[in-house]
Amino acid sequence: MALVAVRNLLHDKVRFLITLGGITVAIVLIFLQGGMYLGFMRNAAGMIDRTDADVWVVSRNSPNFDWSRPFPERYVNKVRSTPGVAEAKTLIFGWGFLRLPGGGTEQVEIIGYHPPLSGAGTDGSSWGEPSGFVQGDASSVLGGDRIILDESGSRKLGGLLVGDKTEVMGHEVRVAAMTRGIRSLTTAPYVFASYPTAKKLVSYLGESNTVFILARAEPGVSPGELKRRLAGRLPNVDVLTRSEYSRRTRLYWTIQTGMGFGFLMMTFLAFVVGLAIVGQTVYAATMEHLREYATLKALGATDAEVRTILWTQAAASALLGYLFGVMGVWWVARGLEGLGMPVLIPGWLYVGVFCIGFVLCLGASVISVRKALSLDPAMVFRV
Amino acid sequence: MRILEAAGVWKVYETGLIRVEAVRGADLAVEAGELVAVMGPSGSGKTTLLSILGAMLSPTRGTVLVEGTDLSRLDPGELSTLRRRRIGFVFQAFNLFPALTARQNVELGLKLRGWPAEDVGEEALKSLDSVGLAQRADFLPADMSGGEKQRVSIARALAGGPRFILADEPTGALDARNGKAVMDLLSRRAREAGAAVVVVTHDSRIAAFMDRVVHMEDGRLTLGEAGRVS
Repeated sequence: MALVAVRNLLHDKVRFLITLGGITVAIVLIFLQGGMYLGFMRNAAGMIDRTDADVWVVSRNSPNFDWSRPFPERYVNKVRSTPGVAEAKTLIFGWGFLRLPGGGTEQVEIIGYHPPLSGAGTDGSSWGEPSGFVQGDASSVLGGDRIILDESGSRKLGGLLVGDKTEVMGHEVRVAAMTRGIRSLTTAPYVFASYPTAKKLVSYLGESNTVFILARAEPGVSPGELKRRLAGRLPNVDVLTRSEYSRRTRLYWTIQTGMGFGFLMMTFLAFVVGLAIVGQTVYAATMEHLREYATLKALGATDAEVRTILWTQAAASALLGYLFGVMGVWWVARGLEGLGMPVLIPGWLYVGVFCIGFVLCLGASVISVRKALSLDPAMVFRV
Repeated sequence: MRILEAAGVWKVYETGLIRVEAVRGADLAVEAGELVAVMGPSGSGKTTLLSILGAMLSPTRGTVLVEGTDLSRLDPGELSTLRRRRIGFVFQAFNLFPALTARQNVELGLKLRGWPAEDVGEEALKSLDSVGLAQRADFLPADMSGGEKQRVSIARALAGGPRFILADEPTGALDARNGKAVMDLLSRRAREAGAAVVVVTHDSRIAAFMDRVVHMEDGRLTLGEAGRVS
């Protein structure tokens, strides 16, 4: 029966191509919606996920990384003196403006970290340092008034290159290094600086304040246990494990902003459009082959065998449409990445979209299957 | 050996106040190797009788036995099994699968009969050879003449050796020369195989190939003149 299914499918090549086109478009759309959502979420929580800190101390009810408020810097001493804390560091974050080379300003997100004294650990990113350097390293900001930009934001910032000078919040700074692949969820590019420089750039936060305290637990102390201990000593801030803060940030952008619902709706619409296209073409193909299905039933084919033909056609269409879709999304994602739209397609998304494609094709075949099964085999005697 | 025995077969359709007696008390018995034509005008009930004898339609009354099996005792799944194992069908419009080659069409029939996959290729070629189409085995139906298509249809019906062949207007879509050739082939191959053949037709020229001709009119079967065995 598989032979009948495949030969029938390929017999009308135009119809088959239309079906494949419908599935491919649906698959590409679903991939892109999922990939863009994941890409945005990666950027949203990227600063949190890249660190090796077990626990984050943040301002009370901080909804996400980008909306955090300052709190007293001295809390870091309480953190360091808490049993079970191996190491703790402050990390500062604030919004600012960067003067563009051609005039005008651009809003940026300024991050102040404690740079290593040499190039060691430049890609470790364990305490909020940037990573993925194409020029320089995390220690390039040592010496003051130096900043690190990411290639993705460089164009937006007037094409600033390593060695160029500019101003951030009225302070002259020099671009000391360049990274690749660090993007914020907001449209504002990240500007990395040493902790003291960043404090100067975002002085409005207050001299004695910081924005985050990152703590690493001693061996044998779980992040949950460390969080419990710190929360007992720091009543006016939120203490979250890294995964909790990452999840909180993602949930904020997903639910509070409606972004998640938007992506979900678009994915659903892509599914429905695909379902409609494939359903229509599969049904039309079935109607065209009704006499063949009746002949099969007259010759003694069982319902299961007739069903097998249609399901095989649906599955084959799904598989081919998926493969074309994967190829298509690869090109489209490349284009979107070039435009600054993050598209993240992890392995599980490939599996998920493959399953969705199958459900789409099988769902689109349901009416056709019912039609074929309800045929009266005696119709073969009516010309 | 009696292959088909239909006794007192009625088929009545009732829709609201309308009652149509499509088949009225038909009796028909066909022995192995015997060829019987059922002739009659359009609307006489031939197609309904054909559907009943082909195990596709249940009679309102009466019994149909195929090789001793009472069709009324079978459920739809068992009727499907009986059709695939014991009955060969030849259709007026050939009903070949356009996407399959001649060989694949015959192979499909064999697979439905439950033949092992490793044997169907050889058997299909043998069957096509018996109808003189071995050289055309890899042609699609679209690339064959009407006569050739009907010969493929006969090869499919006879492949696997069913004992009962039902043919619906087998010459209906063919010119006189091809019609004669096809009937000659069908009758010769059926006799060689010892199959009982029932041909439903309104083509009087078919009578020449039949052992017996019965007429159908207004749902009733009446004995007709004996045909000439060719």
